[in-house]
Amino acid sequence: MTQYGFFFDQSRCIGCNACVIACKQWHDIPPGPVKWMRVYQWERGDFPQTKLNILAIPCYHCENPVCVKACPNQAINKEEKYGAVLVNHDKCQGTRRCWKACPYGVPQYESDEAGIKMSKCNMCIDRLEQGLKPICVLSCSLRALEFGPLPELQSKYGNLRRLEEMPKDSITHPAVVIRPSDTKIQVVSWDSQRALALWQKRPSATGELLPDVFSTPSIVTGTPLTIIGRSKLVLKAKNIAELMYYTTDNE
Amino acid sequence: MPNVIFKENLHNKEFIDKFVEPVGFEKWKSYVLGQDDGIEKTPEWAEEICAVPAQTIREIARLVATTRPAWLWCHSSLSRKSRGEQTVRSFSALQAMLGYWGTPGAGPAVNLGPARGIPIEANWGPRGSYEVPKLYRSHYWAQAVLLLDKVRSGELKEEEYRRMVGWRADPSILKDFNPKALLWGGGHKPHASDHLVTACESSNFQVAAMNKLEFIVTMHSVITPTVRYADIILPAQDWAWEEKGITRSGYGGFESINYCPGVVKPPGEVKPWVWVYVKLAEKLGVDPKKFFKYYTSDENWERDWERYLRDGYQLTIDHYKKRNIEVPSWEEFTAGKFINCDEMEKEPFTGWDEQIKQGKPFKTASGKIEFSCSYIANEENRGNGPHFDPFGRLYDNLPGDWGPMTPIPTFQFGVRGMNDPMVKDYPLLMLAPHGRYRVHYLFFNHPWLKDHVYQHRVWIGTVDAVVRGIKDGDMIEVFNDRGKAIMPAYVTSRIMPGIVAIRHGGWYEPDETGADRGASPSTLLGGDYTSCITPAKASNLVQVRKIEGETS
Ligand code: SF4
Repeated sequence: MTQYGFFFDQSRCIGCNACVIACKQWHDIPPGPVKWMRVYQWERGDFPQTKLNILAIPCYHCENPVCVKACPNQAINKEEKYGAVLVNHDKCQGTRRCWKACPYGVPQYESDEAGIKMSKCNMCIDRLEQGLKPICVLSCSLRALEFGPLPELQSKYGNLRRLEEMPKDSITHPAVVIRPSDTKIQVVSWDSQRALALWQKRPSATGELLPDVFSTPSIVTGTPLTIIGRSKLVLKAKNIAELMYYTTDNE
Repeated sequence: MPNVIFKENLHNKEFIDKFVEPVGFEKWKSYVLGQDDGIEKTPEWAEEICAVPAQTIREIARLVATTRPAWLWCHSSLSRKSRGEQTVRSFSALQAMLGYWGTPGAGPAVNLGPARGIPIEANWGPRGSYEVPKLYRSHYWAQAVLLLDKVRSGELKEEEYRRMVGWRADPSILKDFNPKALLWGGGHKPHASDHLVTACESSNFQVAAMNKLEFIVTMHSVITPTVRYADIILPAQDWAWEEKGITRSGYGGFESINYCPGVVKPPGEVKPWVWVYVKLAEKLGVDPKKFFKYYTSDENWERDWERYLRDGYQLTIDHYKKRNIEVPSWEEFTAGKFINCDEMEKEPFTGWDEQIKQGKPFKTASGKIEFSCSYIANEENRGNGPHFDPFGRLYDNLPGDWGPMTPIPTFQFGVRGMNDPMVKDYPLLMLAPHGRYRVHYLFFNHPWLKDHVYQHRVWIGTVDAVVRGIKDGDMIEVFNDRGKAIMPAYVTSRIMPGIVAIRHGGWYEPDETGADRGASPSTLLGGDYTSCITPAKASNLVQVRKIEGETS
């Protein structure tokens, strides 16, 4: 068996969710919480030195799929030709052991009710059999996703299997190669302290003294993370509400 | 930036000599260097206004002047603020002084004029002799209706009124101006035909103006927030799905010509928009064949329409044939082959090719790039003359009055901007950028998008949230003198202090208190009548407060 896998280029992904919609459309999944493909955004750093991280994540069809072993009903198997991890809907009893085992939050459920059957990304195996690429890869206009035999992707793009914020890959060996976004290169100098001091004042159009935008520059940089939306990557949401929160954009 | 470039002698003298009108150029140069008003427009002068440190401005100026070609791009969004025309004009001047016009990626916004001009539409038939009097700027229609009482009572001077609504016709018509009915919409691209409450300024004022009218007819494929107020809705086919048609997308660059085959069968009595006009013509006693020369009968509509489309596409084929380029046949085109216009060319599209590369004159009085607009410089034109685009086509939707715009691009503080004394009541500047999940208001009600892959929220910076006790997800009210909108907060470090942002195109949904629960930024926009060139402004001052006891 040749293990097939995904390449994700974080420096290209703009978090547009086209892959999510294309996936749903191809697999006939209605709007709502069942997202075989998910797009996460999380921001890091304080204003004005901020960075937005994005991750578009299907199932990584791990070389060592811990979900397969976790299922008491033998409902999940690793298919032979592409190494796709597939669920047998008839055998699934909705015990959610796979969900507990999977570090990536891949298993998807229609609701929070107990006993609901699981569904997941199937690598578009129906398309692969027709010689087509998975639909998420095809739908990405930024070409942030690629698909192919894992060794090929590794020789092209290296062997980074995770982003800093993602779980360790030493046990699961996910079939993915990731290129993280580039680090910022300062082309022109920019003094953020000076900028903050300028931001504070309002130059008056009329000569009249106008109130400052904020009281002191220090209160801008030191805000508590707890009030910010999506300041961390949460791959395993506690429930559907949380999943929807972490996988929706605000553009 | 121009100040740095002039002082360090980095401007492109060769390009300026060849293409720029010298008298206006000198005027602008002396403005930038402070020789005419005593204020030199240095980076130190600019940093106080824009909060970008002077050193950074200086370095960016050097970088774009010495990197050739530099990707220097300014589109229309900056014009969507009060006096934003000045910003966009200054940028074109900057691009010209560096000799970047006609350079890929660095010339002026190509959507505003230098399109490729590929024909796709056949002629409908000769125009009638009746000329519709163009009274006011269509974007200011509500203002034109609402302020009329004040003009009649003498509270508002006629002259002032005409300026505020962009009146361009003979002022004597004003005494007979008595609006009673409104026919709105009906263009085949509905993103442009539902301006009123979802894209024009001040939704509440739009509704108030509609309420003053006796009869409203609209035509649309969707029950939109505007259509709801109509007495009669003419059910038009959706142009993308139901109607057969040829579309040309594109903003100069990135152009493509596609065929829409009408993939969905329209329900009930839903009709193509041209068919509706054909029938209206008939009812008004106009021979419909004179209105639309392809029309033969209702039974033959499909065939008539196809003949019309085919003739239009023939113009496209001929256009390319003249240049020895082969494009798909009508059969191939309607079967799904489309024209990617960029791929048809050897060179990337830059606009102004004829002028820069072939040496034809610009369509200005001097035939050159004018830093000082001779049209505006002549006060006799104010309120009178027609406006033409660079191809000499009449732009009817521009007002005859340009307000306080100066002949050379200058810096002017905007009305209702960060520096307006109104900040004492409304200290935050709201921006209304386009969302990426819809085209204006279209698809706001799409179940696969809103609340599925995105949420319609107001962006607010951390410090502005902290001082108001707001955290992410709290329901908040955004308000000013134009109206109020209620929506959840997205608290983020990704926006500047003092700025909030609501994506354009939310659907106006007033509750019983008048608060817009659909949170259309249009509800909060408006109130600047001095900047008459830009149609609907996309920024305004607001205040924000948390609504206790409500969460998203
Ligand atoms: S379609 Fe591509 S760019 Fe858009 S979210 Fe998916 S991976 Fe990212």
